[in-house]
Amino acid sequence: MSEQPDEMVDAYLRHLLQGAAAPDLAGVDARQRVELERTFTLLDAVAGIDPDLVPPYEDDAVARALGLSPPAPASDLADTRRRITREIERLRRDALVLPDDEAAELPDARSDLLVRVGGTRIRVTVVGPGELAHPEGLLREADRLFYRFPETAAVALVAGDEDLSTQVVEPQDCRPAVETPSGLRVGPRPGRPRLALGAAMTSYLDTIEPVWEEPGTLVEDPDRDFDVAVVAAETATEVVRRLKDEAARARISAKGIAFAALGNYEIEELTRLVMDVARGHIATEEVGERIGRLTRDAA
Amino acid sequence: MDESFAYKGAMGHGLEHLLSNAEAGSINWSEVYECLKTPLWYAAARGARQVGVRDREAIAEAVQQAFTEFMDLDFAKVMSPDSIARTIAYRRGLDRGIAARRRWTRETAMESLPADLLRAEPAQAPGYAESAEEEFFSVEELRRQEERWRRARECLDALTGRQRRVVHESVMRARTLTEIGNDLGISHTAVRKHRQKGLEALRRCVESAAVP
Repeated sequence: MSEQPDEMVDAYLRHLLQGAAAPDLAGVDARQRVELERTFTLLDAVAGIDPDLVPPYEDDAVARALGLSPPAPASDLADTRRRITREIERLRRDALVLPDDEAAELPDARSDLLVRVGGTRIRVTVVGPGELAHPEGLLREADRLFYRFPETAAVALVAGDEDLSTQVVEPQDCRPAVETPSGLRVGPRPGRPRLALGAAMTSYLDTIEPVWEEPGTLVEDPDRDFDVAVVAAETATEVVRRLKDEAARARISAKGIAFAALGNYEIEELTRLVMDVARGHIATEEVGERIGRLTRDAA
Repeated sequence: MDESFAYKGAMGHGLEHLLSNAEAGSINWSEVYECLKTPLWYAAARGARQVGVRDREAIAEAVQQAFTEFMDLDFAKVMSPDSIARTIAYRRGLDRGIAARRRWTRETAMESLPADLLRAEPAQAPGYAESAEEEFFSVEELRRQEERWRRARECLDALTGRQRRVVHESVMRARTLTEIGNDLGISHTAVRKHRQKGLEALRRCVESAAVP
């Protein structure tokens, strides 16, 4: 540009900034004209427009006047993703938390993380502050995710607040349904409560991927002595002890007196009854009769 | 130049995605504003510059009015929301610019002229559009200019310190070469030379980004 007439640049700036007439390039030779026109194209875009024109959010009078709250910066989003990953890994469900690269390739799929627990795929979408209070739009977006990725069992909508408030939604939550018995069309609406991330994921995974506890081992001892008389005596003693304990709490005084009076006689009679049943010495109908007699004696 | 450059909100979502919740009435306007911030401010500033106004307050008013009007749009019927936003902001920049010029002219006149001579509307300076609605402009050209301006901001770093200062002050902030020379303690001719070299370097940088 060193060969360009600098006065032309001055004139063009005056034209752009002060409304003066545009300089006439008629007398300029072709090569210089091309150079000047390219410079004018640049000046058209930048002259009089400060590079610091767009204010940062904290100094933006327009955002303040419109009552717009500053959106979470990207660094906060990355931090939220890290917190979510940590929190899910802390559940000890052998969960694998990955960036959702598949969803990132689609323009209308809003998903930040993919959680794989066993055969279950859960997508995690980080939502803005207050978005969970109006879930209609979020449910529509989640429905698009279920459509695009049918293997997705649920979508966790996570707000980047202190608790990582989470709304887990399943495909049926994102579509309208006919409610029984009213027959009314309801929804879409979330079917689960909004909880902190850990609680929400645990609650969901307990339903869909329950953790089975190891059953206790039964130890058979072939040498163990088993004396029916001893077991019967122990059981009878326990029954009588329990009834005597109940005597102290009985509301009906006669019942309290009767139970309190139980003692060795009843233990012996009950033991004998169990022994007779075990050995087949008495018929079934006789059992009721002997218990009745014992009750009457106690009374 | 990457013409497909699209601004995104802080959460990383584009404008169309953010406006897809319009029917449910659950648009996150803070995010939308974040997406449109640069196009709105640039378009409003360009509109105001068209009538010789660079007043930041007037531009801010234009941006606020434009975004308020944008929020009232029926997005089901809008094909290209960012183009509409730019168009509105440019128009409002033009309006505010014209209003500001009229105010200044009136104030200046009131300081120097007797009241009985102020019955008529003060005349517009030559070369400026009388009515914002009559002003023709191409939103596509505006978008290209915004892209060049965005690139130029980045390219300023490629200039030497003095070139950067002179181009910034003389071209973008429209200060006179004499004022800048006084600030830097150098002659008017030296400032002019820095501007020449700086503009040349800036143009090359912007154009190199434009042609892949």
